[in-house]
This record gives sequence, C-alpha cells and structure tokens, in this order.
Amino acid sequence: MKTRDLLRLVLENLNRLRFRAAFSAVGVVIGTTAVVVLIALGMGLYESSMASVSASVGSMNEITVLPGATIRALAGSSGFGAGNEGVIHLAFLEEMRRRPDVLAVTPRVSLTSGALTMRQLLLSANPVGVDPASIRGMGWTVQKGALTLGRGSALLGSKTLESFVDPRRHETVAFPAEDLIGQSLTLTVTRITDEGKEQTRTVRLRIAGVLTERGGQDDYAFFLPLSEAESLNQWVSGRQINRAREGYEQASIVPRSSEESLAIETQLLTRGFYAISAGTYIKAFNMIFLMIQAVLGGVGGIALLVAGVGIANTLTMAIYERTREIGLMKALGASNRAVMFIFLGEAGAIGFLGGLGGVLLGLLLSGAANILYGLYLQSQGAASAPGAATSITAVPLWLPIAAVLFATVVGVLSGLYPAQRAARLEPVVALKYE
Amino acid sequence: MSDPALFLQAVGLHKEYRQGQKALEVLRDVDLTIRRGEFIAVMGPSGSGKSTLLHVLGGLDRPTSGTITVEGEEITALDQDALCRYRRERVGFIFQSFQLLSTMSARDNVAFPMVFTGVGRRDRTARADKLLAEVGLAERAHHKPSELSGGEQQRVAIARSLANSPDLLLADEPTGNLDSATGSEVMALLQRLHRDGRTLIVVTHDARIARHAQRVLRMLDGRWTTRTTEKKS
Repeated sequence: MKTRDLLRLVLENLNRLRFRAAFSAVGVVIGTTAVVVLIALGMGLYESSMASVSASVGSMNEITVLPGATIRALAGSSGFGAGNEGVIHLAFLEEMRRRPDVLAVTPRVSLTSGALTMRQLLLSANPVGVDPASIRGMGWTVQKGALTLGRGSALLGSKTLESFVDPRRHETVAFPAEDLIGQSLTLTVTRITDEGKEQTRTVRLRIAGVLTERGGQDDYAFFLPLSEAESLNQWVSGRQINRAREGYEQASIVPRSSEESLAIETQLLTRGFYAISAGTYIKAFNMIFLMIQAVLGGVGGIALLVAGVGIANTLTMAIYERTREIGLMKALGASNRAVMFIFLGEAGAIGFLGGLGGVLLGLLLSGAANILYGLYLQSQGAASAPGAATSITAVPLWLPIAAVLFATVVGVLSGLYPAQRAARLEPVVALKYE
Repeated sequence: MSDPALFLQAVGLHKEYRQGQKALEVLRDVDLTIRRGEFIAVMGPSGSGKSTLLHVLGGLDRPTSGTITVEGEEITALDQDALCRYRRERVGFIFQSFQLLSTMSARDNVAFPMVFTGVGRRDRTARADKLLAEVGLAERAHHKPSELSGGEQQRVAIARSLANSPDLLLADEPTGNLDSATGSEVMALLQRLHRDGRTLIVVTHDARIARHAQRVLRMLDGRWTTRTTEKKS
C-alpha cells in the first residue's frame, strides 16, 4: 500500500466520520491551545524578566566580590565565614591578580559624600574609585575620548550623558559624548568637624572618556582613580584607612573566560566572601524558568493527554461500527499492518489537525493577550519605563512546531490500542459482524 | 503433480470451532480436487459447512487440520502476510450481501482492492472503469451503492472481485439477495467469467444456479454427501 493511498484513505475515512472526528479533535485543539498559551506566557515572563535583569547587571563575566561580613550584617546569616574570613584586603587582591585564570582585579571605592558639577550644572552620578591599571582588563571600551584614568582625570558611564540637571530651571540636560571630552568637572566632598562646622573640599577632574554602554549600574557611574577616591574618603572620615587590615567594601574580578567564573565564585564563597556574577545569576534564573516552563507545559500536556483518551475512545467505537469494513479490507487482501496503519493514520491525523487548530487558536490568544497587555501598560503610562516588557507572551519558532508534533504523537499513541485491535480482527468473524 | 490441469487440491480438511467446553465440527475430513477453469457449485442446507469451506479455500480462515494446495503452493502452510498476499492476488470474493462500502462510488469500490496491491490511482481508475463496462455499469460509475439496484450492486461487487485479476473466484450465495430475474443476470455474468477461463466455486441454495456448474457437490453436516456427475461445459 502506497503512502499516498494510505493518506488519501485516512482522509476519506475521517471525512466519513467527520462529526465524531471533529469532536475528538476539539479535545486536541483545547489541549494544544493550553500548551501553546501557557508556554508562551512562560516565555513572555522569561523574556521580560531577562530584559530587566540585563538592564540591571553589567558584564556577564565580571564577578562582584563583597566581604562576608557585609552579607552577615545584612542577612544575619552565618553562612559566609566568620571573623577574619572573607575580607577584601590587599593580600587577597594581590593573590587574585596573580591567578592565571584571572584577567583583571580592582577594588571599588565609593565616595561617601560627593557632589559633581560642571558649569552650573549638577551631575547625578555615583563617583567610584577604581584601579587605573585594571580598566583595560575589565573589558571597558570608550565611545568617545581615551580609555585612561590618570591623576586628575575621570571616565563617565554612558547613561551619565543624560544625567545633568540645571538647578535653576529644574530640568535635565543631555550632552553628546564628544562635547564632554576634555571638560572639567568639580567634585565637592563635605565633612562635619568635631566642632560641628561643615568643611568642603573640591577636586577638579578632566573628563578623559565616555564609556560604551555595558548594562548595569556602571553606566550611571563616574569613575576616578582609586588613589583620589581613597584620599577624599580619608579626608571625609578624618582617619587613615588601613586597607591591608580592614579591606575594601567591594571588588571586581574578571576571569579569563566565562567557564572559569563559576569555579572562582565557588572558591570565594567557601572562603567566606560573597561572590556573584551576572552569568551565574542568569544561569540560576534560567533554571528557575525552566522549572516554571516545565510546570506550565505539563499542565497543557495533561490537557492534551486527556484529549488522547478521547481519540482512543472515538477510534475504539469506530472499530465496532466498521468491523465489516475491516473484514472486507482483509478479504480483499489488506494485511494486518495495512489495517493498523489506516487506524494509526486516522488517529495521527486527528492529533495533527487538532494540533494545527490548537496552535492557530493559541497564537490568536497569545496575540490578543499582548494587545490587551499593551493597552493596559498605556493606560498605566508604564510602556516607556526602562526594561519594561511590551508583551506578556512570547512564541518562539519551535513552539508551534513542537506543539503540532506533540499533538500528532499523542494522537498516534492514542490510536495504538484501537489500531492493534482492528488489525487482529479475524476476517471471517468481522465480515459476519452485525 | 501428475495432472497439469490440477488447480486446487484439498485433503482431509477439518474445521472445528470451540464454544466453551464444546467443540463444533463444521468440516469433517473434506477432500476436494479442482481443475483449472472449472465451475463448481457447492450446495447444501444452512449450517452444512459450505460457506466455511469457501472461506478456508479463499484463505479467509484456516482449517483446524488438513491441507490445501493451489498450483503447488500449500496455502495452509503460509504465514499471515503470505496468506494476505494469496487473498490479494489470487482470489476474488463475491458475497451474498455485496459488501460494498456505502460511502464510495461504484468506481472507487471496484478500484479499492488495487489500493492494497500498490496500483497507481490513474491505473486503478482506468481498470475500474473497464471492469464496470464489462459488467454493463459504465454509466453508473459515479453512483453510490445506495443509488444502485440489488443486481447492480452485485455486478459492482463482481467487478471488484476481478480487480486484481485473480484466477480463483469464490461466490457465496451471489444471488441470495436478488429476485429471480436479477439473479439470472448475475449468473449469466458469472458464466461469462467462467468461459473467460476463470476457476469458479459458487456456494448456493439455488438449484437453477447449480445447473450452470460443471460439477455440483452436496454437503451435509460438514461432509460431502454425493458427488454429482460431471457435465460437459
């Protein structure tokens, strides 16, 4: 029996049983729609969450290291070592620098107080001191200017271009990057003396370059040499900070490759540090979403399996009605295999057509959900918020294909029992069946 | 095989059906020899075993014991697939109740057996039309069985039995559901097929039909009762 004839026969039989086949297919349509819509919702959730994560974290490889004590204080946990463990002191940084799997290391020193001004304009940015020797290894690049951080110079994060404020007009002012190169910024730090007097100190910094956007908080930062940040902090606090003993509040470590990132993080965690990179964070994030997808897909899958029981029922009933026909086919020389394929083909076709219908309905519902979500966002005025997702569902190309395939497989599996039953019928008995 | 004209030989055919503890013997030690191109009528009362004999000879059922050899090939020893092939290629069945598929046209019913022998759609249709013309139904090719008279339906069924050019035609009460005039038409058709060289075994109650056969065999309680004298064809 040729495949083309088998297909034609299957379609003719389905056409003959069209009402019953259609009812069975409705079950598959509902099941497949559930699979498509639930997975599309999960994917939409994943993509919108990933968009916000990407907007808030920087380089995938860069490991942010915090002293264990910081986390212990924050979380009240004892999981990050105790006492002297997990302190970012100079020896630790030096040890990290010497590791062959590490490309760059820098402590990060934030200024406790600091106001930035440029020609009557205020700059809303976080001043951060970094080791000038590490910046090439950190993977930074400039969109304008030079990637250098010499004494008296500064580098601007990409988002700071839009963060200037005119205090007289109460409005933000944006600059093209080229207009800022070579400009001088004034950094003013303030301290209160023991007598309660306010003292200020100003430093003039020349903008050497504007960094390329990397995602994360660094885009909103203003980088100055570590030594200048250290001296300003010491002036503010009025005491000499012994980094060799007290350590830094934060450091960044860039491994040579992303594969080494997890190993370094694990080692640091066992030594009492808190260490995390965006890559690891996203891996954990992916795992969670994989589980969510499995649960959502599973719920849809169960609906589809129930539909499979419906197909099995339809075809089993059809065997009783078509017993004489099966007998005739056998009398005409149809092999058991041919009879089985005809019934399996019918089951598979119900699954396939139901799957196709389910995918179409699922796509329609997903599209409708996105339109409603878009209207809701507009009504809330949230559509233009940074990192905000514009759709609630996402349908990757594999989803409709996999859904139709799955529905077809469910159909074929549901047809196995009826098909075997039909194939095993004795022709003489079948021909006499009333 | 000594006789070159020998077509089918059945030896010691025995068939019993189990009904719980009881065994129902339907065929008891039946022997049969048929020459190529012979027309045989098998007569007997209901339940005498004649239809079972036809089913066993056509490979629709297997005997409990005994052998059937068709042109040197022992069909009782064939496996399931080979038996299907035997039915498909060498045997044409004609049933009392026509057994046409009600949703198919006359043409598609006739073409249906060729689906299982892998004949292409165009060739199937051409051959079905030719066979329908041979049984005088060329004009009725597009009609569904429900739109045809009983005699026409049986002629479609006869055309279908010829689809794969079998050399053995087995007819089970072919005129049983027809009035006498229509039955005569169908019998005339079967005679013509016999004259064309086909081996024909007809199971019937109707003595008028049996008159056309070269040999009439009578069966009672699963055994031959008498063997009619052979007639000239």
